[in-house]
Amino acid sequence: MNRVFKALSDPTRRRVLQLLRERPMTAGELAAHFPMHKATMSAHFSVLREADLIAADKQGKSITYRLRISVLEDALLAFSEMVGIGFSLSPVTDRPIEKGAE
Amino acid sequence: MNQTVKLIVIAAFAETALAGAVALAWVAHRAGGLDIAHLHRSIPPLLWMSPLALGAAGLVFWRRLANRPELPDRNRAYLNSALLTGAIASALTQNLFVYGFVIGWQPDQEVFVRLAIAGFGVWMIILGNSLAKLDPPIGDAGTRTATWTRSLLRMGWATVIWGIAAVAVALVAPLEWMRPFVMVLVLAIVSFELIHRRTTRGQNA
Repeated sequence: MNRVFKALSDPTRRRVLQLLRERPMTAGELAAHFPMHKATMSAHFSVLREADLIAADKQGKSITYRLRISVLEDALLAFSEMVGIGFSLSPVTDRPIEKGAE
Repeated sequence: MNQTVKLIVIAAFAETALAGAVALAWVAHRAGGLDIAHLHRSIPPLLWMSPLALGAAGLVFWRRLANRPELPDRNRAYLNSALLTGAIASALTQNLFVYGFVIGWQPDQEVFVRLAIAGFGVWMIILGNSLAKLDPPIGDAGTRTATWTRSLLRMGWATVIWGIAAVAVALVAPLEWMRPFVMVLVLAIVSFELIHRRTTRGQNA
């Protein structure tokens, strides 16, 4: 559960989950929605995968991500989105990202 | 749902249905016949609740857990265990009531029914919570992933809300509410499953 809280505490990761709610997307499609380096996005995906909130299907060179979320996790996502919990953490250092750093 | 789980759920459904029918025959024999006009009041809820719940759960999970037996899946194993545990607990509760009745044990039926419905509600919450974690089926029978996830998440939410309502009703509502509540619950689950099948029909990947 700790991993789920960690994953949901970041607005970027929450936005990724919201996008995946519409349809499964490739890593490239998801990354196009964020002004971040691909490596940073990849680290965010890996945090979400560790928390078992998304699943990855590899087809050739591209990875397609899809939502894999329980009702409780969905409720937590909606709650953290509603109250705006958290600030962007670097998935690499686990520290708050300073503006302009990404 | 693998063959073992399927077999155990079918066996539990058949056993509880048979035990319920035999107990009903026993009641009728002792009372010199059944009061057909008041049949719905004369059958103790615990005789029919268990086979009804097992039948509805079996119907829903038959399809949801059917199509990826070749892939190891932690969530699928979790749901299988929850389904099996609930099926066995449900059958044991009903059997305890039936055999207790035959040997003359007279438990407080209201407490028994309330506990059974609360347990059923908790079971629904556990099953519904993890429903959308299931991987979509693959191959010719596969549904589009987006439809699959959206539909199961919606179904999971409905199941969890029903489960919470069942626990609340079991704790605070008058006993007369129980029978219609459980009937509506089971009918709603079956309808939702049928609607889901219609929605996903023809959307093969």
